[in-house]
Amino acid sequence: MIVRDILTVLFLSAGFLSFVVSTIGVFRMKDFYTRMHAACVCGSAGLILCGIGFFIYEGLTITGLLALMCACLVNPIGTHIICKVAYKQSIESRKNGKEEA
Amino acid sequence: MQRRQRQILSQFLGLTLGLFAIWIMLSGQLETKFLLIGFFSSLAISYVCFPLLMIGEKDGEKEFFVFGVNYLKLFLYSLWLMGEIFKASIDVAKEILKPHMDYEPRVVHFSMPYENPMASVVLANSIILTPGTITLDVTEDGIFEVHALTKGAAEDLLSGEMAERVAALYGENCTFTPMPEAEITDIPKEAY
Repeated sequence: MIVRDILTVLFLSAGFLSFVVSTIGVFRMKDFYTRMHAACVCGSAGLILCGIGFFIYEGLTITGLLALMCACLVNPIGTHIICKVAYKQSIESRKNGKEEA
Repeated sequence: MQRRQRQILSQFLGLTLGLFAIWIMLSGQLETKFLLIGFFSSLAISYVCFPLLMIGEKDGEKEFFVFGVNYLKLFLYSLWLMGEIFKASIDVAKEILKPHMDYEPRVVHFSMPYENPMASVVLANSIILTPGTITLDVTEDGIFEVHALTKGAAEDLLSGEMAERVAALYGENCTFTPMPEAEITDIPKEAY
């Protein structure tokens, strides 16, 4: 029981940490595409880690598994469409993240 | 032709039984009334959706069923992908938390002409699911345009490991060719 609780807390806090890092990244990055990269971290790693935490706590449920699968399938599509439109509209990406003089 | 019809029939029945299994697991009731309702609604849904789930090749000769994958291989592939996601997440988190940002984003191109359109979908989806790389476009000829955050992410992509694993998943044999940045300026982009 105590092992399960510890594992749950570990996975959920790892997921929470990736959400925090992702949010910091959205504010710190310099241009559109790199912000999208930062937002990707919470969409994939954070969601999967939180899902594993829930599965350890509650046991493997078919509903949770379906929800996780659908999120992993649908999340990238939104990212792809937003980035594709930006690329076709030729929004340029900066060459590097350093401050310009 | 007989074999083809048998294959289509088995795919149809597989779809129906899969939907029925999900119905049973989600409802959790085993009375006859509910089972009958579930079976006939899943039969109706598969009848309506089956033509939509057959995707043609780009030349239009062969047709592929969307869910026609080896599920054991798919499970192993998703486990491998999960490991890749965590490694890439740690890399991106390092880039984010650096005091002085010095990442170098770039757009890389490679060509991987799959026959099965679902293989391209799975590859593009996996590339986006891995933090640090975003698929910008996939052309008809199987040319992938990918935006990579760091040099390491771009090199991982151009090593072609992920593309070859997807090819093994769908039983394709096509060659992975990374395209240097100089060659790609005259790929026509469709107008928006």
